[in-house]
Amino acid sequence: MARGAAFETVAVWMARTALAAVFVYAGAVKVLDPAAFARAIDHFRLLPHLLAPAMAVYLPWVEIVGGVGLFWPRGRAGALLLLLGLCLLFCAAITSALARGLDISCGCFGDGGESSPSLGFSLLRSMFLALIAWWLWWRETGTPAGEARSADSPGEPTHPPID
Amino acid sequence: MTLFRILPARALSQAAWLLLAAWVPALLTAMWHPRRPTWGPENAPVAEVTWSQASGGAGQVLWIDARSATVFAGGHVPGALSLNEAEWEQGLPAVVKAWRPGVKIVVYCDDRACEASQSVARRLRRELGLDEVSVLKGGWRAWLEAQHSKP
Amino acid sequence: MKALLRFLSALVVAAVPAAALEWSVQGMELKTVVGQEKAVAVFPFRNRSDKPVRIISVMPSCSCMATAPAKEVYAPGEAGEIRVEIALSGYVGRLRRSVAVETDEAAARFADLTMTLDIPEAVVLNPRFLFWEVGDKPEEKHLEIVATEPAKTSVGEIVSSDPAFQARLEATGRPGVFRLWVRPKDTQSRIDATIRLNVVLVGRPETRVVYVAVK
Repeated sequence: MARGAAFETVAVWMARTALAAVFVYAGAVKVLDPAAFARAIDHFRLLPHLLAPAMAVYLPWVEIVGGVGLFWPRGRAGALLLLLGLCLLFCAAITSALARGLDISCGCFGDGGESSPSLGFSLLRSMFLALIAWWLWWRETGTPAGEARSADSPGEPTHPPID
Repeated sequence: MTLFRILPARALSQAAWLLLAAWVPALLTAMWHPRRPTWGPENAPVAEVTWSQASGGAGQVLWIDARSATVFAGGHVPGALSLNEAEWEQGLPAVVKAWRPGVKIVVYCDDRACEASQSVARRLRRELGLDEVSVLKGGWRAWLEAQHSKP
Repeated sequence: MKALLRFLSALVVAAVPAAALEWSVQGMELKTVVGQEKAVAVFPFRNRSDKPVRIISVMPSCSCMATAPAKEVYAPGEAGEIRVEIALSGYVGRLRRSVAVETDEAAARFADLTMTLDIPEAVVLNPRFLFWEVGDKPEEKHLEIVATEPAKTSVGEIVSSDPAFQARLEATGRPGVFRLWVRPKDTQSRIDATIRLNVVLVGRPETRVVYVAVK
């Protein structure tokens, strides 16, 4: 019983770290070249052209702040909500681009098209991240036991976690 | 395990605070980043028109072929002029001569994925100072399809 | 636990197939200056596998580039480079060009080398075209001439191709910024003409053409 709870906690930690790592990395790469990211956003033809620079400058920081916020117990729920929202937003944008037959690269990791993965792969990746974020969100805000766990105690209080 | 939960208020407020926190570095980026994006309507993409919109409209259309000269020689929209970035200065005089006020310029290249029509259209819009410049959605391929589906 | 970590990281990071030719860079940004006629990009690589690799073809994305690898076959451990020369004449603004290198490797047969260039326009004419409609008032209209690097540029004589159009150059207070004022004699009939600006760019004489017309 203790082993099961400890395993879940370890899994939660790893999922959280992986999610944070992906978003902080993605955000950081976009922060390095906002002009290139603005061009990538333009290629999606979803936002009016004049709003693309604003989004290109703001979104990467939302990703970074969201990723970092996962490690702060007081901000975790909000961060998860934010990242889940971002994943759904990306999925919607990529799906829309695929539906309209746009021949573009994702722009997920900054650039507007240099040897980057196909849109389909990017969509699968976003969906996978959304699943992880949703699972963490459910654990964070679901049952009252979940609420207690989110205060960072290592599972069952009477047994030490078994690796 | 329920799939939907009513979003707890604390999560919403935390998210709002995080969104607000992201504003500060974003503003700094917008002001000082050496690679910040330019706010320029001249870099705005040129509007796309479909074949039926272009050919069906009231005014006259001046077709511009943005592909290379060899491809142009192999087949082009009747009456189209060849203008591409590699031979810009050579191709521009014919375009200027052919244009009249009220004539719409529509630029096309191979198909929907090519960028040449956008760059040629943007450059035309900028250099000639004209507003009524658009890009043919689907390019040369769209024109071919339109010909095949004619009764 | 370590296995789980590895599994997760493998899912998150895209798997990159191991290629025999290892490139120092596969994409580069080239800076060009006003007056430059061609740009050169060099892509070094090394054969990291234990078999010789043969370069089958090097294909540029447009006819504006000349490419050549030094030789065809590279022994294991041998280094080489692909040199690309891009002709810049006629182009302005942001340019993206790519070269596809095909080798006889099994895993990664095609390598894409991309070059992004920002070509500055030496003399910016804003706009390049002035027109009047038949019956309009033959009033003076102007366009702006901006030299991107005033120290390297000088604007000289202006020549109108048709006496129906008179042109004069006006210097504004700002360095490298001029105004070209043009007036047609009348707007009774359609005419197309050009105004040639003789400029000297980095010591080289060049012409810039402005189009004027009564339509």
